[in-house]
Amino acid sequence: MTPGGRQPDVYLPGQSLLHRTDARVKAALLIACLLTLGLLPVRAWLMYLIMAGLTAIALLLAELPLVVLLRRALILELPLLLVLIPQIFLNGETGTAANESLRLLGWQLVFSPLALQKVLGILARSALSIQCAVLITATTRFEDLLGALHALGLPSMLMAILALMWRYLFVIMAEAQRMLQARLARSAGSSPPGLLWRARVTGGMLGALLLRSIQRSQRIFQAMQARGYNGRLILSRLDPLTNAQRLAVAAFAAGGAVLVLLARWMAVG
Amino acid sequence: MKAPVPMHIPDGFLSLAVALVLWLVSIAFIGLALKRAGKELPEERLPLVGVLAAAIFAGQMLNFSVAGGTSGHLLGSALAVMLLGPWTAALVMACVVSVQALIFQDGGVIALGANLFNMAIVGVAVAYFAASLCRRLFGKRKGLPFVSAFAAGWLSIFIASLAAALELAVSGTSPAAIAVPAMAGIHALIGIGEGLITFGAVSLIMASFPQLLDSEAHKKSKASLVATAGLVFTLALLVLSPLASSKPDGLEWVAEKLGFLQLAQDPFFNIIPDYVMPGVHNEAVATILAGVIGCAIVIALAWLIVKRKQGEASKS
Repeated sequence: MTPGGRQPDVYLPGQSLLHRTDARVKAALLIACLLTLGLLPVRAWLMYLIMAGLTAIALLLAELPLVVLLRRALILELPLLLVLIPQIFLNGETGTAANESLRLLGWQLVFSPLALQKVLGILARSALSIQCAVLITATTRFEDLLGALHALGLPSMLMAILALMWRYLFVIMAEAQRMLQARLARSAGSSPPGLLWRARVTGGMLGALLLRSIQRSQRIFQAMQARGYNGRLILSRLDPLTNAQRLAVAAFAAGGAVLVLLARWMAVG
Repeated sequence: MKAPVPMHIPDGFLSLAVALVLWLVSIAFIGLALKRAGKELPEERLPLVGVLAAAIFAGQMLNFSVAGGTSGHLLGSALAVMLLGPWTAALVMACVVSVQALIFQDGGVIALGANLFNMAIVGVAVAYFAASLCRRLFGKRKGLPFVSAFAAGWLSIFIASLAAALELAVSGTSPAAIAVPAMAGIHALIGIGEGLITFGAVSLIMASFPQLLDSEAHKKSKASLVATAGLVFTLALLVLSPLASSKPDGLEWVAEKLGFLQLAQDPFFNIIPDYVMPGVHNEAVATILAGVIGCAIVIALAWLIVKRKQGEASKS
């Protein structure tokens, strides 16, 4: 437990290869994966399969409970299904040649196979992207990720804001949670006095949360000053990448490029 | 309200070209905001900005039930603008959106550029524009902060959702004829929740710590550029999106020219939702009219709130 707050459980501690890899290399790996997925043609099923295989290997390398990682990604993917599935049927009434019909329990379903393929492609792409991102955040501390982003060119001021935000995020989230609990205890959660009233109560809670946070930030500033803060943050320096790490980054980029080119070539041929 | 259409665009939904262009645009705007906010931001404000970013993130947990299990909660662009002024608000929202994407996978990493553009840039600029428009319209009347809060909250959500819908359409993910009405319709409702929460938060701050809101209003912080950008975003998206959804061929042509579409989508554009208003035969005009009427309703609502507030004030 961090003092006053819930320990962020996004990062799952471990000693695996993936945990120990430099955050900059992991960031490069993630970006290479996402760009590759973004560049693959919609119907490159073989390539999606290969990417899925690689993701599966990476998942195993993390030496974390698989169920947790898969469930995290699944929770994020389900809402996407709600967006995508209707698209298969949306043009059903037109009856053009591209549409197929399907008899199911007495219902006549009309759908377009082209749309179905497109939806499946987008789904494969976004599901794999989410799984990769879940994996990297589960094995990388936010502080290390920030360092990697700084190395990639994130301005120091934004980094300072993000670091402060992260430090107090879970403290303030715990505070918000307590406020929700207090409201629940007073049973204003879903009781009749009207939508407007409920919205205003929630707005009042938010206002109180902001005021408390502003006061907290003043105390934080005083504490920072007491420890010699002079407007400059001292950032820890990262070692330059070793040759092996550079090689790994280059390999990710090259691997992604090969997959994309191969997929394009197969689509043409 | 949990939207069935995402405001936080996930990876895989945008074509790479759209995503990269919006990354560049977002980096440019946020760089500008860093420069401007860096000038205005005294060093003791740094903790304030970081902690407020955390508070807005946490504030999104505070929800209220609307109906049938759906609940309304906040995005926060408008509130950040009212508390911090536009430049710093853009930074705060950029941090909020980035942490959502990087840590909680709420919105993609490649799509982060687009999400930053929609929520941290369009959302903030439009909210600031709405707030300054209210200042013009209502002057120094008593209810001004309340009206601004509601109007800025609603308009920022609505216009940001149009931007997201157009991005999805240009990417060829979802045809404009479906994406635009769906996003606009849902977010016109979600925006009311945003407006009401922002309104509630501002009323509480007005009651207990009014200097916080006043200082920003007085300073105006040389941000007419932001207000103009907000006006441009609002007008462009209000005009473009109905045009795109009623004349999908144009957008399809753009998408094809840029090489976004990898699949022929012949049967995709056949549905055009019934948007035609009685007596108006041009769908584009009809949709724009619908948008204008929507805005008029919001302004009327805002007006009513002012009247009521003034009434309360004169009674007490």
